[in-house]
Amino acid sequence: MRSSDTTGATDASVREMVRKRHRRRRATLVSLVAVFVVVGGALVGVGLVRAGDSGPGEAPSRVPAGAASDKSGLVFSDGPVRVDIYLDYLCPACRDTERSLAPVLTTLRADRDITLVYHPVAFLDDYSDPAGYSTQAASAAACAADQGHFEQYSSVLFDLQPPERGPGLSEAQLVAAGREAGITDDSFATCVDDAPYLPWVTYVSDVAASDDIALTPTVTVNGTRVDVTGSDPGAALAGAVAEAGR
Amino acid sequence: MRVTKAWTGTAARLTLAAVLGFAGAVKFQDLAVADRSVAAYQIVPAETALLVGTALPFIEVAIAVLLAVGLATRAMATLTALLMAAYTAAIASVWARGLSIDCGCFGGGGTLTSGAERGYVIDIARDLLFLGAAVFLIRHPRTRYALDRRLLDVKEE
Repeated sequence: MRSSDTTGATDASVREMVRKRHRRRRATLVSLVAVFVVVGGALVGVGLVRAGDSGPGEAPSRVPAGAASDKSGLVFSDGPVRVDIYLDYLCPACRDTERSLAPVLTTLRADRDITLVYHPVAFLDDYSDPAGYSTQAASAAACAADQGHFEQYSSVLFDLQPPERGPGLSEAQLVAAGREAGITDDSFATCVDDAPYLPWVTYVSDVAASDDIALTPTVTVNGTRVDVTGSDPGAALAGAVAEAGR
Repeated sequence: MRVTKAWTGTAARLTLAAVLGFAGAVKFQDLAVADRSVAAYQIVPAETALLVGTALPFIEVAIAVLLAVGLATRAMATLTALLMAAYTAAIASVWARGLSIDCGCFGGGGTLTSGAERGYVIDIARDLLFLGAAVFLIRHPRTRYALDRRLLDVKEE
């Protein structure tokens, strides 16, 4: 009897050890499966999103004067090096970029060094209240392009740039900004009012997004990003253009 | 004491599940914005940012679901802790570089005009709090109302 007692105690401790070991093994297995599910789920999810992402929709039929042949921007000047500028009228950094690049761009264009393409994108639609100021402003800028005053109008819009989370400029203010930019034709007001270029702005934004342009301002020279956040964006751009043109 | 920890663990688990679930769900509403807010941190190249931005909401929601039902609690708490540590580091890095952005923690995100620094303090404090909850769960992964109990504590014949 005594011997069986000891055996019983040993059995119990052995059983306990086995139980613990099994538990550990199960815990490890469950953990591994769970981590696998999380990571695998994310990969599948990204795959599905990528696959379902049809890219930009069909190009709109109506585009402003001066639109690029692929309708993804507005072309100014003609030259061997291509410079793409992506701007959002609500983005504070875009205002600074626009201002600091203006003199360099003028020189580069005068020298016929660059093909300048502007992409007025609407990435910050959620940052005005009511939402959608970015699109509205870009659409008005497209109207200004029809009048041949896109750049002047852009610069006025940046001067008048409303703060984020505010209502943005009203339609009347957008029209008034046109007069300030030197637009005299009455059809501009009609265009701002009818906003025929809303689909175009969406298209420009979608093409930019599918080209991996995630932020504004973005400036590319022959497709390569140029850092315009430094202390002298103008010099950075001029340098990149000189490098590309070599 | 053990009982209190088990209940505290349940609270930590459900809180983290709610936070991650909400954060992920909000980002699903506009994945393009989620991509862009990752890009705004300017830590990884824009192309990678788009990938990370799309993947994060999936990861967050998956962890949230598993935490909510209490499956593989310790593993999920570890992932949560890693995620929170990464978020904290990312925000700190943005702050240190003087960038002015919205963390995009719960959707939104992008550049900001003002009030960014106050935002950073709040975001980091919040993420550290969640990190604490996750660490607690790593140390005490056995909680009340968790499927782990059914799966791991089976009676052996």
